[in-house]
Amino acid sequence: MHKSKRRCLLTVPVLLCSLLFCSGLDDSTDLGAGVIEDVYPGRVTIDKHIREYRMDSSSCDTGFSLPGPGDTAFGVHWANDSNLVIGTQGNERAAAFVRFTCPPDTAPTRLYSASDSLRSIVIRFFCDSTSAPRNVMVWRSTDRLHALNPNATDGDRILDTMGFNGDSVSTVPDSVVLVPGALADTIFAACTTSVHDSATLALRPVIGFILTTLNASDTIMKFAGKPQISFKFKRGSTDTSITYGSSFIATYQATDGNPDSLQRIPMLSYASKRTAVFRYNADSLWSTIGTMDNQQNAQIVSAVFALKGPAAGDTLNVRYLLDSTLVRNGYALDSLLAVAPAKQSAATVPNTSRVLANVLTSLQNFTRNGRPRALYLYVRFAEDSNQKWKKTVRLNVPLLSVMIAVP
Amino acid sequence: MMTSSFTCYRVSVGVFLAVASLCSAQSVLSVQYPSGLPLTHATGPSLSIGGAGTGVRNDFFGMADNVANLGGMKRAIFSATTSFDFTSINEGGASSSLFALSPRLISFAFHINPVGTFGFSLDQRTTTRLKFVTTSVIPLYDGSSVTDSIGFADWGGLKSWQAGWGREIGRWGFAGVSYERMYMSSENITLYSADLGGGEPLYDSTHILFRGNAVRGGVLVPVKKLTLGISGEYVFEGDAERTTERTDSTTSGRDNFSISLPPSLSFGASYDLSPSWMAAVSSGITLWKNYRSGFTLGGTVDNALSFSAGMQYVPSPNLLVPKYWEIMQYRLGFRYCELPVVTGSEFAFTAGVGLPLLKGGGLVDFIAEYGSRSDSRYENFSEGFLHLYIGINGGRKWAQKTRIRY
Repeated sequence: MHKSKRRCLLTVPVLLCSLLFCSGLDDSTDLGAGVIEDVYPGRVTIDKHIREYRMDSSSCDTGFSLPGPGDTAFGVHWANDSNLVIGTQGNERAAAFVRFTCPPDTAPTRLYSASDSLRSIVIRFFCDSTSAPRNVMVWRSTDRLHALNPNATDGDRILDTMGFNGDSVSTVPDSVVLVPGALADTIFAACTTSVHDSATLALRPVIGFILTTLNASDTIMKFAGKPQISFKFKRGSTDTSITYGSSFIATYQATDGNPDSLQRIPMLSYASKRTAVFRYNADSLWSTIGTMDNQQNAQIVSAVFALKGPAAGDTLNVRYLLDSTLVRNGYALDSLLAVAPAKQSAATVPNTSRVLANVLTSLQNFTRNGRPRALYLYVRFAEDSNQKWKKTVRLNVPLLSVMIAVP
Repeated sequence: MMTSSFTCYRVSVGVFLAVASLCSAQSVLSVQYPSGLPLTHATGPSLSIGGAGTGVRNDFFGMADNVANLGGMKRAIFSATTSFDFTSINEGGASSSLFALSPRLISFAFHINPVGTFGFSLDQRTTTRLKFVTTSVIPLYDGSSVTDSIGFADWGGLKSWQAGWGREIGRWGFAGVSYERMYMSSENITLYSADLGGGEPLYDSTHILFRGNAVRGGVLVPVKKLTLGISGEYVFEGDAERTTERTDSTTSGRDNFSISLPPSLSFGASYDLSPSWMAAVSSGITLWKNYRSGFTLGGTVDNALSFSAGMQYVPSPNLLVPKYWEIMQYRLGFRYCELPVVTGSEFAFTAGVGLPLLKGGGLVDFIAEYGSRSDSRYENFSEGFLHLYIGINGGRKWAQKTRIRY
């Protein structure tokens, strides 16, 4: 017993000391590159493997921005979890669009029966306390494309003009009240036959509304949180129930005033989602890779666009996308940029904030698939509640730095 | 209490060996040699005299130096050797210190009278271990920079198992032959990465596996106090498979080719100066000019000569009641060998002590080998090494009833 214990007491410290000693040893070496090179030429000398290619402004055919006249659906902001914005400021104008499901999504099953009688339907909005209250016009619409131009001939009807500052014609200052009538009855009738089922949400009746000011002199106004809808009805002789439901979709759309002239410059605008686009001629890049590509092994290992930030002290928070085609449809571009990388510069010192936009994956794909001659770099402000409504930045031509390696 | 202490002891040793076995990186020069860096594959007693065991007849020298040594064994013998390798790679004024655990040999031999003695062993014959990483900071046009790195790893080596037989040939000596099955593997990977890349590193890997057969033979001739020995090995041409894989999978592939590893021959002699003193020398050649490969492995090779010498001292081997230190075996050795390229060579000094156990039924060797290898083509480059060997040997006659356990 003593022998075993003594052996343990001796062995453990010796081995621990050995491990500590070994931990000071190197895991690898960077010496002897010449020996390896003689056996495996070109293996361990980085200069022989990696070449830097810089695509400067001479390779940029043009820089412009979207939308131009006729480019659709730009400036749509999904606002489910942030603020709705409406109003006009400078050349930019915004209207909001909200849709509700029926019945309200808090219901366990069908809420209403044919014997219930509707008293009223109330749609409630919440004005952000930091906004200057203005009269808001509420239109009924089922199509968000009408958001900026409500049109009675297309079925849009004005429902109310709300005054958040107390001079509303509604009984509740921040609400639209639909008393029994054609619209309210239609909504209620649809709800009596609707069954709450999250799986069939898309098939359930929906009710949509537009909020706008239609007044060029107004400033922008924000709504906090999601608008709500409530049904006030009578069941039997005395019972009255009220059920609130939050909107399941809320967007606002902003446009800038002069797309024809703005599209000529590579400019970013937060409100209208104006997107800077640069078109590059990539022939020289593919040619460079081709000269290194005798064995079809050349790989791009690093590809970075340097985006220079605003002259004023601010960060640059953008999403960017490198594509081989020009996308002019705002919804399509939204979808592409929604999954594109976002990058924010760290510096706020004027003229020094910079975003290094990594486009490695895109360029690797293009290298393998067709090596297109034209490459389009899209840059747009990222959705950020801290972004300023009027924020705009004009970008210089970003320069592309590419590292190409040949194993 | 004893159980917990013993468990603690075993866990400690296990952890140490496990961690040590994870360490790698040994020799840059080894990438030049087709099958890796040649190792002195021998049991502890032979290692401690510089590997000069070709002409030594001793049970605990096993069949590694000379398969004819089997012929002199009249009992069952077990031997195992492992090495803790410390390497210092020096270039210019810079150096890297690396460590590896390297099991070398395990062998068994059984004497069956009157047929002879049969042996079986597993040997690590050559090794390639290298982990090379270099980084380079490349400035970008905008004032920032990108750090690119290349990692090069090369590991593998030649392992073999052999089954041999040896016996006494009349009154003039001992002879032995063995069949050997060889396995040579080589993994070679290069990785490229850039810190701004964001994607997977590029890689280029090659895997080679060779399987071959060999025969060994040897003779030991004792002449009074002198023992002469000769040992040779011939490797038959074998098949190898090479698999390449790259980031761009379209260039990956597999092909087959053949390899002929070189034959080798060694001569040795030992002389019992007195009951206490024994000296041994051996010299050999590996005929790398006979090496053939359908695919280039390593650099240009040339025949490699080797020489080793050593001596053993036992203070009082024949005392009936000696003190323990008087029966301990003290050994010194030296070896010099050319490496498979004509410009490369290696020398080392060895010192060892053998601790007899169980009344001569066992022997534990502790050996330190210090040396250097270099290549005259790389004047500022050398590799110093310290190998700490542990050898365990045991012997027992099957028919002998004994309470001795080993």
